[in-house]
Amino acid sequence: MNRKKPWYYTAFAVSIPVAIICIFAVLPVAWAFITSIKSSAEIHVASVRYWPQHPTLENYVDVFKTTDFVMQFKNSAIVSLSTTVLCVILSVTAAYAFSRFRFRGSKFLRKFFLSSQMFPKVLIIIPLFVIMQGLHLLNTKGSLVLAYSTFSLPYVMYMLIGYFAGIPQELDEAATVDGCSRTAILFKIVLPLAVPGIIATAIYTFIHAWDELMFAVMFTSTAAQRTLPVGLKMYIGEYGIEWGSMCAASLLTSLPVILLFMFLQKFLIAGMTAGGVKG
Amino acid sequence: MINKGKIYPYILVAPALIALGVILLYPMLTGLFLSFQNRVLTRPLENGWIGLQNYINMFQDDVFWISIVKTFWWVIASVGFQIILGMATALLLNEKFPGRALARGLILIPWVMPSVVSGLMWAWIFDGTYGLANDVLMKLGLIDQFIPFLGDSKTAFPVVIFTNIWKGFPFFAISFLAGLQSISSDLYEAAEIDGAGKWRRFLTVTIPGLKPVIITTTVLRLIWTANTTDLIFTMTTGGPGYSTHVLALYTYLTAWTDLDFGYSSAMAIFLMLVLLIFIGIYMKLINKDKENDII
Repeated sequence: MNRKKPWYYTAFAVSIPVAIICIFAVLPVAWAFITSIKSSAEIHVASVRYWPQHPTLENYVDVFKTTDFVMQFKNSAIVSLSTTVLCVILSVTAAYAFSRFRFRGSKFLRKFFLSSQMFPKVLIIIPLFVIMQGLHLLNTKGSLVLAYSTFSLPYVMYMLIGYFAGIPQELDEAATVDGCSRTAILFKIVLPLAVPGIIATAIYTFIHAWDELMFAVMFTSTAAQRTLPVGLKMYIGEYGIEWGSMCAASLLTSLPVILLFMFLQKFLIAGMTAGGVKG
Repeated sequence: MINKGKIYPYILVAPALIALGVILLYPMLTGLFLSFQNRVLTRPLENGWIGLQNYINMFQDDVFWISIVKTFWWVIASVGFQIILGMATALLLNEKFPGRALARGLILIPWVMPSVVSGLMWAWIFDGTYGLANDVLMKLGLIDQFIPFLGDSKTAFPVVIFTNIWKGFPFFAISFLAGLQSISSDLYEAAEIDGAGKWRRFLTVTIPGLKPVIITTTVLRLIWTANTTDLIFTMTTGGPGYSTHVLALYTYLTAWTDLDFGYSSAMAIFLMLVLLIFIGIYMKLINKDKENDII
């Protein structure tokens, strides 16, 4: 397979199809960007303009000045960061147990964890609403953090088990000989070596929490508690659709996850493919 | 000392287990109980056990059957096209060409974008008055008047599925790409020496090599797509009429807008039972896959 293929083969059979798929992938984002820098007058013209004659940032100014965007951004940040921290802490210890110890019931528990990630969300949302209501946790960020952490937990744990298992047990044994306790091994040996895996799972958890809509719609009822996805969804109903500021708000909402993704792409792809599979 | 050693792994697992118990298992049981009750939040006086009545109502509910059919097409069309497009993308990205890393990054964008944002961006492109899709189709002469894509019960469902394909194909592409890279190039060379052409090598080397990945990702994706409601919720909320009304969304709306938690739970339990079949298949496959693995 080391034969070099002629340049025109690569150009026609590979580069052009790849370019088409890339355009397809990026098109809505690019179009949202172009719309976001158009004035309202330029958006509402009979013949669509592919680039604004007078690019403007007025839509972005509108988003900050006339909507609850900043507050929702803050809510989303608090919820997503707390979720990430809680979820990683909960799964690290469990993953360490599953990857290093054989104990009674470990097989069953692992299967249970793995299958629980596939339970329908709608089945959980309704009773969880009733439960949260009973605990007076409805309309708090805490209810979202609890729900999101638990929902990401099985998959994050599954990914981490894969990472931990890849760390040679000989290192543990050497550390035991040196007098390390099992808890010390987790902190001094396994965790430092599993940093890429932990980063991957943390990004995964963050992206999912940032993205989540259905729980947030159900569990938050006042403007002060709404997260960004709910804000965007509500925005449509409340004001009719002002597409310019809608596109600006959409892009601003996506910005954190896109930046995270750009800087940490390598970790993320490794995580998606190494630890198992999930959308 | 021995006792302490035996308990140790359980202590490590306990926090995660408690979280799952409280947030997943307990609600599921509560959901099961709710499904046998009359529980409409706006009429608290009528609360009470009604046995199988919710399930009987469900099977007599026309909207439920519409939702079943919609769910079927939603899942099959979304996942089917995601696999095809994902496979094509993976095969292309497996070739060497300049800018490959960039292409791989760009292709993952749909996967990273928040669902609400994805729904809104495509809703804007398919807008009936100022949308890009109408403009381009018009200029190409394919249509002679603008179509309100999401407002028309004929076009809304295909558009929503299209958006879901866009959102989901990168997942398959990246999973398949990882699978492709683990197939030994010796196999291809051997097949080439035996005189197998490109297509033949794809069928006899690539597909068998990818089979485990294809099956597990597909089953997982089927389950996920059946459960997914956020794209449709954002773009059409099930409408116009019932044209995009999948079961997961019907369940959600029954609780969210009608506040009928009993009936909603019954439908959720039904969805769960159907999905359990697929979850069972998935678990079997995973176990077969990982038999000799530590996990």
